[in-house]
This record gives sequence, C-alpha cells and structure tokens, in this order.
Amino acid sequence: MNGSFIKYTLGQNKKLMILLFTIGFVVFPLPLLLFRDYGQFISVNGYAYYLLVFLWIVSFILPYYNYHFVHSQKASDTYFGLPFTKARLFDHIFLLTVWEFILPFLVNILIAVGINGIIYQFYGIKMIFEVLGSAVVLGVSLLLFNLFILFKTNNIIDFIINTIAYHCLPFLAQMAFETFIYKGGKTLSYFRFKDILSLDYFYFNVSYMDHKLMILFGFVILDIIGYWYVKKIFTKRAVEDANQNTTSKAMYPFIILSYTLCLLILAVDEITFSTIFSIALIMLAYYILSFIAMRKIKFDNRSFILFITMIIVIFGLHNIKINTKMFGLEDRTFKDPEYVNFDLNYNYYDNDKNEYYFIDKAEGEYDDIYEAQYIQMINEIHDKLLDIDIDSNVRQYDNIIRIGLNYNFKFCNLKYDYDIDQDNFQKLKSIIELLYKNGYCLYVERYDNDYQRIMLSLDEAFDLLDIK
Amino acid sequence: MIKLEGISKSLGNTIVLRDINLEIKDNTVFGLVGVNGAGKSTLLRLMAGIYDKDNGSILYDGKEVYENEEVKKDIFLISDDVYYPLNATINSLRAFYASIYPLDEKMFAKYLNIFNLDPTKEIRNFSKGMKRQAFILLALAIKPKYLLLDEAFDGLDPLMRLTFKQAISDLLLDENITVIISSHNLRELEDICDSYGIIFDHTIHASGDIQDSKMKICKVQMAIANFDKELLKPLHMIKCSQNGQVYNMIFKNDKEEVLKHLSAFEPIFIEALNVSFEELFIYEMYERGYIHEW
Repeated sequence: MNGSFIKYTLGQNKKLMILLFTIGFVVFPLPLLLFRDYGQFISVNGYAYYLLVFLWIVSFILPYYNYHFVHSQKASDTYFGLPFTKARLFDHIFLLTVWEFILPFLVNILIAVGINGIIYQFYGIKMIFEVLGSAVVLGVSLLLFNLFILFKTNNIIDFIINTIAYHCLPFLAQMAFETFIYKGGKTLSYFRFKDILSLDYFYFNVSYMDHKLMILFGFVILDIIGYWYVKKIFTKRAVEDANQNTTSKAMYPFIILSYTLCLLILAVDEITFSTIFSIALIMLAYYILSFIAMRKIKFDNRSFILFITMIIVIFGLHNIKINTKMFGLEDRTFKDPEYVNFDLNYNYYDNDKNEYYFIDKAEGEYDDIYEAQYIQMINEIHDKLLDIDIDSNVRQYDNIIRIGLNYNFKFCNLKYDYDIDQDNFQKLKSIIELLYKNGYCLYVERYDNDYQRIMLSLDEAFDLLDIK
Repeated sequence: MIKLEGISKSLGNTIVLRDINLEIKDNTVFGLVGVNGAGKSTLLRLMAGIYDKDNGSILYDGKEVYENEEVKKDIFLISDDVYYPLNATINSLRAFYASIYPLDEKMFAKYLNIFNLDPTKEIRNFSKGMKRQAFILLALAIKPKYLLLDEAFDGLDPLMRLTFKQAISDLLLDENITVIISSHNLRELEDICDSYGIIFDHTIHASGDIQDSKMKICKVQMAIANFDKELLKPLHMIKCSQNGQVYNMIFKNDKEEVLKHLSAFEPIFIEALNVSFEELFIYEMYERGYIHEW
C-alpha cells in the first residue's frame, strides 16, 4: 500500500467527508436532540430506517466520487498512467472508500451515544457494535453493488439510470409476480423477491430478522466474493471505454428486458382493447429505453421479435397457470412451514335487528402460530376447503366469510384466500365444527337498549348462518 | 531502449493501430507525427501502459510496460487534454504527484519561477497554455526516465516553447531521459528531435534519424533551356514543377547522385536546396497519396 497516496487523497476528500458527516448528523444524532425520543436509539430497530437513508446516499456518492475516473478519458489517462497495477489502484481506492464510508458514520454514532449518555444516562455499547457492525457489512455490500454498476457503465448518465433501475427492479418484480399469480386465480401465493434481491429492502428488515448474526456472517462472505468479483471487473475493464456508450449486457439490455417483462406481466392477461392499448404504451416505453441505451432510434427486427416473444410467453404462462391451477399449488397443503397464519374474517351487520356478527377466538384463548397442533388445524381446514367445490364468484359481498391461510417459509409465503358468500355457507358446516373444536366461536353484539355481547353455541351458529 | 513489436489496437470496431514496429534509443528525443486521427495519442497511451494492446509487445529495456509498476514508475505522460481535480492548484498537484513519484523540489521551484505561475491559484482558471505549462513544470520536476508528450507545443506561446525546448535539452544533458513528443508543429519538432516516426494508415510508414532521412531527400532547383523528363527515369522523382525554364524537383535520392545525373544535361543553373522536416513529412504523405497537391 502507498500510504502517502492514501493520505493525500484522504486530505483531498476532506470536504466530501464533512458533507457525509453532516448528512449523517442530520439523519440520526440530530433527531435525538430535537425530539428527545431516545427509545428510537437504544435499539438497532430504530436505526434501521435512518440507516437506510444514510447508507443509500453514501453508497451512491462515494463510489462515483472516488472512481469517477473510469468514466472520463482525461482522468483515466492520469489514474491508469500512475505506477500502479489496476488491481493495486482498485485496492487503494477501495480502502479509501470504505474508510470514508465508516469514519463519518462512526463519529455520528459516537455523538449519538454521547447524547444518550449525557441526557438519558444510557450508554449503548451493544448498540455501537450492532449498528456499526451491521452497517459496515451491509454498507460494503451496497458499495460493491454500486461499484459493479459503475464499472459496467461507461458514463455518468448511464450510471445514474442503471443504479436507480437496479434498485427499483426487485420491487417491480415483486409487484409483477404477485399480479401474475393473482390474475385469474382464487389464491395469492408469492415469493419475497424483495428480501432476496433488494439490499435496500434488506436493510429495512435485517434488524427484525431471526439469526441476525448468521445473516450478517453470510453478508461478510458475500462481501468477500463481491470484492473479488468487482475487482476483477475493474481490472478487466478497457480503459478506452471511458465516456462511451454503455454496452454491457448486464446493464441496459437486462434492465430493458426485465422492466418490459414486468410491465407486460402487470398489463397483459387476456386480449381486450385496454390490454392492446397497454401493450402499445409499453412498446413505446421499450423503444424509448432502447433509445436512451443506444442514443439512437433503431427499429430493428430483433428487438421487435423479442418484444412479441415476451407477449407470447406471458400469455402462454398465464394460460398454463390457469390450467394447472397455479402449477399445482392451489390444490395442496404444506406440513412443514416455519409458521402459519390463519385469518378468519366474518363481519356482518344486520340492519333490521341492529346486530353485529363476527367470528373470533373464545375469550382467554390464543393461537400459537408455531405449534404443530395449530399447523395441523390449518391443514385440516385447508383440506376441507380443497374438498368442497366453492364457487369463486361471490355474489353477496355484504355477508361473506373470508378465510385466509398463510404458510410462511424462510424466503417464501404461500397465501390462500377463500371468499364464501351466503349461498355457500352450507358447505362450511364441517369447517365451522372444526373451528368450534379449536376454541373459535360466533359472537353477536346487540346494540338495542343495553349493549350485549353473546357467544353463540355451535347449534345457534348453524341456525344463524342457515346451515342445516 | 523502447521497442514496439507488432503493436495493434482497435477501439470498438475501428482499427486504430496496425502492426506498429518501432525502436527508440535512450537519451534521445523522438517525434511522432501523423495526420489528425492517425492514432498518435492512442500509441502514446499504449506506450504509457494506460491501454492494453490487442497484439504485440511494448518493451522498456526488455520489460513489458502494461500492468508493470516497475516500468511505469519511470514513465510520465502529459496528455493532449490534461486532467486535474476541480479545485486543484499547482501545489495540490505537486502533493499528488509527490505521493507517487520522487519529485525534485529544486527543479520545481526553478521552473515555477521561470514559468511565472501562481502555485496557489486554481488551475481551472488558467489559460490553456498555462495549464500545459503547469503539467510541464510537474514533469520536469519529476524527471521521469521516459517523458511522453501528446501535442507538446499546443497552446504554448513562442517564448514558452523556447523555454520548454531548452529545459528538455538541459534534461537530456543532465539526466538519462528519453522524450517522445507527438505534435503537428513539425518546425518545433525539427529543432528538438533526433528521430521521428510517421503514422499513416494506422501504421508507422517511415521512421528513422531526422538528419539521415533529410539526406535521402533531395530538392533541386534547375534552369535549363530544353529538357526531356524521360531522362530522369533512373532517379526516384517525387515531384516536378515547371515555371518557364526553371524546374523545381524533389527526388528520393542521394544529393550527390542527383546533382551528378542532372549536371549531365548541362543546365544554365542548378542548386540543391535544404529540406525541412515539415517538407520531409509532406513528401512522405504525397508519395502515399494522402495529399495530391501542395
């Protein structure tokens, strides 16, 4: 390592570090002084949201600030002309970047701890380790991800567009996926793309996750692999690409393909006038994005064929999904989820009698969502729902029983929704019996004269729901 | 010694350099000339180890330059369009380069004084020529073994050009320095360069010692009453123009040989004229069909 080069560059970046420190100060120690809500600061949970803002800004600014020369022909001549191998140049600046990332953050953490100590007599040593440790590990991941985009693009405009596009993509993909599986089906099943693909979203949730240390350790491994990969891209990158159009397949082509696919999934299910109109709009957007990517309008056959192929694939998948009942998922239960949620919703207000009916757990009884017995009950209800033929066309929206079954796995949820209207209540007889056996019951609240809340017996419930 | 063997380089789908072969001796000044877009800057970037070549090798005393810190520490390139951070001053640039190269503070002070530049003023407020002077100043203070200058005299006023050329001469005397200069200003190059290379059609078409090459071109002015040009066939004539009885001719032959051959026609008057480096370049370009008339 060339200490004088690092020392010099750090000195040159003093103003930037002061700016980052100021942003960091406004984001977390300042609210501590202004709002005096130290509860937000004694736990890492409170920090997660503030951290996200800070980390995102810093992880975007720092890579560009320190590695901007890869996008400038003039600056490339200077930096790549220095007596460093590309790998050593990368290491020097990476070390500098990580240091510039940590230092303003560390100072702000210490200020926050100081404020806590002086005003609230709370000394959060654990907090320092938790917040700083996770921020460094996760922040470096975010830095590396933005560096990946920086080295794959050739100019600042492409860097900004692709960075924003990449960070928004998991959310759009999630939305498209949920829309795809929901359209035309009675169940909603979804995978948590956001958790897997989006580092931004991960920051929101890391502090709430179980096995936090293991997840952070996983991220340390990911950082090491990411560092190796990003360094490899940097060393293999052609210096002469600076300030040219971005040609990497991982940038515009991937982004355009992904966004177009997601938008088509959101818009396309069956052929109607509005669908055709939506497709036309998406096609326009597709060509606008292609124009931005290539800086020229090009109507070539290949991109048109690709667009049409995407539409055909989506129509095809949509039909397969309908005909296979969500690839078989609609017709099955799961014995080994981490935990299950059961959402039984019946809220009916009888205007004539001025009575309100609802189903709830009997007083004093609670469900343990992790308990095998509870999971078994859910599966039994689900089996019964699968056995009976429930017409999915709900006709009477004011008097329906809504049953939601939610199987939670590590990175995936499978959610089943059933809406049963009054005409189909008869088919729920065995399910209501099972619910009563497990401590649920039907309540009536009467508002005439004195307020009364009455728990109905199973027979009374059958009478009320007109089940014979 | 710098040795380039079979160097080729493409930028995108465009071939910029093709099969470049060149040898540059130590402690000399080499002039790299060529028309706009010939690939001079690309060649200098390759020689500075900034770009990687597609084929061939660039050896400094037998060592490959690309990704070689040991070789690169002896090279300093001043680009056609110099780079400096937004708020950089000469002092801050000096600190930057001093963190990487050994910098001669006495030399820095000496040329700072000669160039009369304010070391605390932001470089972005300098004129084009002053910016170039600032980088020349740094290069002179670094005293690299190999100094590469792209469009070296661009923006410099006549006085500064003279000072710069003097500084280069001093360095050549005092230090073991090799200078490679690309420039359009062939008159300036002629004053300072020992050898040259002409890039044309993506490759080096002519190279060698300037004086030797000039000797191989013979420019003659001759007055003669009656003269059949067919008789000049044994000589390699590049151009012949006639004004009445006066002929101006350029040959790619030895001066003695030309004068001997022409004297046989008993001219009224015959004189061999000096050929400048600029003319040498023009003749080379003319012969290769790049220019049709001058």
